[in-house]
Amino acid sequence: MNSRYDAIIIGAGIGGLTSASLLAKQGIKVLVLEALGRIGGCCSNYDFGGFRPEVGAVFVILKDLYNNYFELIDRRIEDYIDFKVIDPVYDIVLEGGERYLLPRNFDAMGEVVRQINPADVDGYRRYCRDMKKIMDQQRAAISIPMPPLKDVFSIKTLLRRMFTKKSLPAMPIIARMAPRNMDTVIRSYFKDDRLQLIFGWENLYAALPVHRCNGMFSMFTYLGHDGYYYPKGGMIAIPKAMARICEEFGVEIRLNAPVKRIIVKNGKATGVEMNSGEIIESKVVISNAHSRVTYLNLVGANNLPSWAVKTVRRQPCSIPAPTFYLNLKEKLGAQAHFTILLNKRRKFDDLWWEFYDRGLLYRADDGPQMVSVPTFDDEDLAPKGKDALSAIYIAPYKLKYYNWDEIATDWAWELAQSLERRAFPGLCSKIEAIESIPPTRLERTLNVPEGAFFGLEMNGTNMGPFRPNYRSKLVDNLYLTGQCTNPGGGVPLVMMSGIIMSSILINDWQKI
Amino acid sequence: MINLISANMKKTLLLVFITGMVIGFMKGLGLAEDQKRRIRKALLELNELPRRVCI
Repeated sequence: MNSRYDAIIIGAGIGGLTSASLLAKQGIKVLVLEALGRIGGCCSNYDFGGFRPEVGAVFVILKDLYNNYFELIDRRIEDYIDFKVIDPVYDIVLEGGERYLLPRNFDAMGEVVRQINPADVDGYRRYCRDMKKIMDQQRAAISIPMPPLKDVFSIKTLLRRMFTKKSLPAMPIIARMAPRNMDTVIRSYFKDDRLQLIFGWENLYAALPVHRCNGMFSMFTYLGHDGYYYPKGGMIAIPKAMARICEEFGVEIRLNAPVKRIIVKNGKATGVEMNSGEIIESKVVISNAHSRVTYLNLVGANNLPSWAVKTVRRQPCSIPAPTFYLNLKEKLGAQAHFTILLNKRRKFDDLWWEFYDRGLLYRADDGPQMVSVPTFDDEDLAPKGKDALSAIYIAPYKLKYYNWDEIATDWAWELAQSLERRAFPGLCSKIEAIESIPPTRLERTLNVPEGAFFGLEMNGTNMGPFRPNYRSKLVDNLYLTGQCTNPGGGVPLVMMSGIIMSSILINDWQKI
Repeated sequence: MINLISANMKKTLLLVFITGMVIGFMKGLGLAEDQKRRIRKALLELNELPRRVCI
């Protein structure tokens, strides 16, 4: 086929930009089509009247994984992104007003643990020792130089990365954690309810309830002390850096270019039709969209067997991450970039069964909230002397008694008042503007079904072979990347998905 | 169908017996409606797995 483009990538999210740059570096002519007027997808910053809070991802973890991408692309990460380490890691507010500032330093954190319950200091040391062994193994794996792109996903590379000399001490710990859920693992280290909460709430990052979250997620708190980072210019600095690299390799990125459908002829993807009616042909089509959007909306049910349509439709999404933004006319006086509001253990667990599963909203004071004040680490994200604030909370996609569009603003005000009562006295009088983004709006604006920006659920029945394949088994010459493919949602994982997908495609290229 | 059942009477009776045991056991557990819903959801999820591999 004599196509104008070799590959069309739908979506300028992290997965799309990763694969665009890697493929272009291999000499493939790539076109990226983005429906929105900005890049980044779920790793971006939202412009809300001069204030720029984050959309989706709020910080950088596993920074070493980013180096793998920059190594493959022959660039230095320092030349593109300026990272600042987040310290203190969290300001934790417990029910009843108890408040703890969690420092990044391990010994200082040990003092906080002693202050809460001296009997748990040994558990904390054991926790740090175990997690350090796992991190050492991860670091050893990541530090192995990246092979050429075509060999990234080879058995040899995977084995080399899986079995390093640091693997042996980590294996018994992984074997103990991986089959258990996060709650069980955290309880094995800490006896105090408050510490179990402080070290065991980050299942929310996996967008899963604690009882369905794999024990390996217990590492998250350790990762925070190991280093969470925030890029200068906000989270959008990451996709911007990648877009710059794409341009250096000659990738064409079109914004405000929504795709209507993927053209499928004789079971093969041959290009796309734009909303404007324009038809663009290519040898392969790569979708960075949600698997449900890719198959049901873009490929279309008429091009798929009926069992596949049902399976794609039924595959469960992770929980939505509704957010509200506050523009503050004066400084809030936050103690940390992230303030986490938690409730008593029982209330936190019951939230899933009693409210989330039944499509009910809870009392605003009874729910956890993750508050991010990006201006704490980068003042340029709001007008001078002002603060931007975003808060993520838990709420079901489908409400049993209400319609999200009708109650979104009122509910955001309730949550803001709850924030004022629980953590930030005088907050409501500082509000210049409020904007509520419920799951339904996330779905409409970002095109993520059910407002779940972690894509599909990240549990045993939706991971590994049960997650949609990188190389579609339903449509030839169609490839998938992003949060709905392995290894899952979250910026570094989506970047890995882009790398692996590109590696598979490069190996397939001769046959296409 | 009737021929098939009568020719395999022993197996049919065994199947009916096992099904009865399972239903009796589940009833004996006295599961709440929510728990039953979760079990049904988990069984449906298991049923989907072979098809998910082919997507």
